[in-house]
Amino acid sequence: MSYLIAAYAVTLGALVLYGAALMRERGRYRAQRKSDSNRRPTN
Amino acid sequence: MNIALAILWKDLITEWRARDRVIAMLLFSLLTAVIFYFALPDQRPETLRALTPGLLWTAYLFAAILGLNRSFALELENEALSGLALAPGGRGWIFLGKMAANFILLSLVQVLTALAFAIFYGIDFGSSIGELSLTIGLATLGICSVGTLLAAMAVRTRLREVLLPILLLPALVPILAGAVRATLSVMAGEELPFSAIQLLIVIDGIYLVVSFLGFDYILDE
Amino acid sequence: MTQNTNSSSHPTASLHEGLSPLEERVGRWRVFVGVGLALVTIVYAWAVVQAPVDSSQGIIQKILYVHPPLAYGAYLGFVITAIGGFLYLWRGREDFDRLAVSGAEVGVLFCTLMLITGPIWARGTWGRWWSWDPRLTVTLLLWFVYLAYLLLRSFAGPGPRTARFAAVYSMVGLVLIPLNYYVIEIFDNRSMHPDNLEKGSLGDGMGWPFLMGNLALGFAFVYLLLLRWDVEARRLFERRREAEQDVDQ
Repeated sequence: MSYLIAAYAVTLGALVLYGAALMRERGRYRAQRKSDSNRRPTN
Repeated sequence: MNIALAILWKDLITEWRARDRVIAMLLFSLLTAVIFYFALPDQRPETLRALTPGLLWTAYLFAAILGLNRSFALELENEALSGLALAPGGRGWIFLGKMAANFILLSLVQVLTALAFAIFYGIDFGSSIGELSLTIGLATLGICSVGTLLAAMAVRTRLREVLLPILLLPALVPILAGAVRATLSVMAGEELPFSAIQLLIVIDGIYLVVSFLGFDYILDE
Repeated sequence: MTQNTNSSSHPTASLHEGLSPLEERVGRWRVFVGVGLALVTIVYAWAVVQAPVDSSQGIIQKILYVHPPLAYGAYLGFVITAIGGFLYLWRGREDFDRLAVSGAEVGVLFCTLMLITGPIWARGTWGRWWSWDPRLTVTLLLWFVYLAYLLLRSFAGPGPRTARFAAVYSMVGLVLIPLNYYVIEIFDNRSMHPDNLEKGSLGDGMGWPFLMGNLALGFAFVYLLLLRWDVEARRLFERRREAEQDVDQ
């Protein structure tokens, strides 16, 4: 039973962590873009 | 075709003048042979004989990686890779020339290493020299084809000497499997196993085609 | 500079967030896939819990609903890498190279998880963590190949040359799949894996949890693939923008 739970937990954990890491990177780039486009017209 | 021969000739002449690559490869594989002696569980002749094919091929693989790593080093230092890329008439021929040079140098090292193994471990290669040469030749062709391709890549990355074995060894596993199997049978006095030779020929064919075509995308200006 | 940045010279830069039409469309697909993933995951969790306990293997057999779907994802990722690499060499479009990276990275993740869940299952049923079973061996070798692929990419740095190197290496990786099977068929033909599932090795009531497992991990695979593709586009965009700014100054 504990083996089974470990297998599912590792899989779920890894997939969620990987997805979250990608989402964070994406969010960082988006924020950067947004701040750029706010600044640009005033130049 | 002429390009291939010209490059082969240039590489051999350079090697003849410097003699550094072959000597380094040879010393390395001799050292490996000695190291193995101390790494084995016991030193009885039958143990040594049983393990020799695997050890011999391990020594060959590492010597090959050592040599392949330097295969494009000279071009890189002189920034001649872009010059090579501009050579007329197909980069595939450049690949063939380079591969042939590596093949010849590695074969030389292999013969001398086999001699050392024969002396150190008391093994008689003489009785089956033909079958053994065929096996080693076929396997070395495969090693050099994909090895030359990957060496041309690895040489232009960071940590190039480190990257080549990581790229190359997975690709050499099928070759090693076939070569060790054939060598085992031959040394046991059996007939050359057809399946292993067939495997080596198939791998050689596939690797040669992939490397010949792929090399076109590896060299650039 | 009198002109307001030279963003107009770059076809994608004028659009919102620097996305191309294709990227915006992929972004919308990803949202749909994400919704599907969320729905399927709930059903999947319930299906796994209520699936019957195998009479001979016990509860550990429920690993079936995660291990093979991971394997399909891993192989799919590697095939996508090779297809992306091939199309990149053929057409030279950056999108294909990004597809190849995404396939490799998500494929390696799935393959790693498969190599973790597999030994757990093996420990529970065969009694040991590892055996040199043909499929295990081939998968392990494949895992090494695609880790080397990712390492090659990171060591060679960004740029079209790296994309070409990686594409050629993925071709080598692709031919290694059948070659390794060939090697094992000749030398080491004893498999502990069950025969193909199509032959009906699934017990009663195991079919549909297995289907849900494939659906859920399939959705997860596509979602992560598209997300990774999107992130790669943004990385490239940022890198170019920085390079442009360096030129401006």
